[in-house]
Amino acid sequence: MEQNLRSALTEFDIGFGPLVPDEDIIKTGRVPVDNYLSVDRFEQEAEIFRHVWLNVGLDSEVPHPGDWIVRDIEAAKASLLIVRGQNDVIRAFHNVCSHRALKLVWGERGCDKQFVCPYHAWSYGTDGSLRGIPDRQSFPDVDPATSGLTPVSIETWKGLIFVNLDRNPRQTLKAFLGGVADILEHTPLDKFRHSARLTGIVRSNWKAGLDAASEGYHVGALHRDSAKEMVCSKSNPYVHFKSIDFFGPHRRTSNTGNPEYRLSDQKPVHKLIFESVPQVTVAGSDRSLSFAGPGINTTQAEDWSNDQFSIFPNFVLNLALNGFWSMHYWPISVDSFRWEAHYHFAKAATSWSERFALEGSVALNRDISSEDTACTQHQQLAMASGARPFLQFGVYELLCRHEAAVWEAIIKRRTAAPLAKTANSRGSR
Amino acid sequence: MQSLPPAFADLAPFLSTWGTLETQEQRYLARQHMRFAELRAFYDRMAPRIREILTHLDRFPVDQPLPAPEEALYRLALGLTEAAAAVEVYGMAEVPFVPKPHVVTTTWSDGTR
Repeated sequence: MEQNLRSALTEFDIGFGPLVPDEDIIKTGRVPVDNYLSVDRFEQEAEIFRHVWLNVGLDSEVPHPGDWIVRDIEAAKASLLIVRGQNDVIRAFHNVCSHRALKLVWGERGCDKQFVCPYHAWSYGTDGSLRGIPDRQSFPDVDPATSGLTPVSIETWKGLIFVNLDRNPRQTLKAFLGGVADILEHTPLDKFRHSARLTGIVRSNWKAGLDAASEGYHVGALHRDSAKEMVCSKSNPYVHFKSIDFFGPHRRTSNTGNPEYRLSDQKPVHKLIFESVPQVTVAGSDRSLSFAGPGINTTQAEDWSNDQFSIFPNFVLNLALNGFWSMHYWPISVDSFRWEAHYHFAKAATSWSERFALEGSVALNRDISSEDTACTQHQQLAMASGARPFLQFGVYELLCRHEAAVWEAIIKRRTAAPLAKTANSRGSR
Repeated sequence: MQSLPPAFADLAPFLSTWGTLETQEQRYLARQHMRFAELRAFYDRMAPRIREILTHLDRFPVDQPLPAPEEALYRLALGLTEAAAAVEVYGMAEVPFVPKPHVVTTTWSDGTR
């Protein structure tokens, strides 16, 4: 564990120069409760969301020319329109009309050849270009060539769509992902093109949500009715990670499941669901699509269940036996966030019974995540009481320590040299 | 008035609860507002027949809309995914301590090109 704590102090860079995770947090595991309560701190975190790469969607959500999705990044007060153009290029724009700065597209997804503003019917192509201004002669000063939708930097990699709201991103996506990209490059992430996206609002600080996804310690207690029997084993009852790695601001653990878990005849519907389609979370039985390959399950654990990548700032990616699932924690305010989960399956249902099982699988996973979000809502209320000055993370909650220590370093740097100033000195504002 | 395929006509009393619900979001909300005894009664009638129900539905192509009686039957089957979570996992209607209403939106994407 000493070695792990030392590794956790590895330098990282999110585009503002090299930083070292806060040593006190890494070593003691103590994180001030105020980090989850302070509006000022929340706003500083939200500012960082405007300058780093964020995973906002999947290539497979916009498979055909004209397909579009709208994604909100509440921390940046941004609504993004992500669209696959007629030439197959996926672009991202601020979802804002050039005329009166109105939210352009009010739906969530669709397929169109053009976008027409509901207010005065200005229209745009799927490449963002301004196509039509009704009563054109009333706008003599508008040059359509420079009045298209405001573009947002976008990179699609391994089927994942990332955006960066900085007008001049400080890093390429590959540089930002660093060692995480080197490992994921060899995985079949992009082969799982059938997915369910779940989203809901949670009344707690977004970091409390992320914390709950960052350790297995809570599974035996909080998930006693649901996931415990799948995850907690005799040899690893507290779900200690088998290995942990740090890649700049990102991190990864390799985790075990319960090899003695059997589908119970006492739960016939549950059993039918699990037997009908490969399960993409921890309880799989068909290993033919396993992510276990180069760079994954590096300890070669027999009871391996998943490798979890926690990608800064809010993206958790779990590579498991038969697929993968991901979760996002989108800050809204100091005490609310939007929880988002994706369950990725290798193929669409080929029968109604498979469709039933996919729906059932997602419902069961949703309930397990709801146990976490219910918990963090109670945590938020209790933290606000001021009864405790700090949270105490254990050594196997090292992902939580690292996350807090990375943020501590960023916020300290920002307090010393505000971002706007840094940006000016680079001439990017 | 919805109807079910003749072999499953005895399940018609459950159509008023589950037959009109089209999304997982709606089914999850409906479950939260039901008493456990209601979910249990539905589960007890449906669970022993779910394999028979799915075998019937599997005679129809999955990429085309189902005939109305089969669509109604499928909605009952999906209702069972929620009832089964309540009965088989929690022994209560809702996930313990989750504030109600708990709204979770589910959207499926099939990116196969």
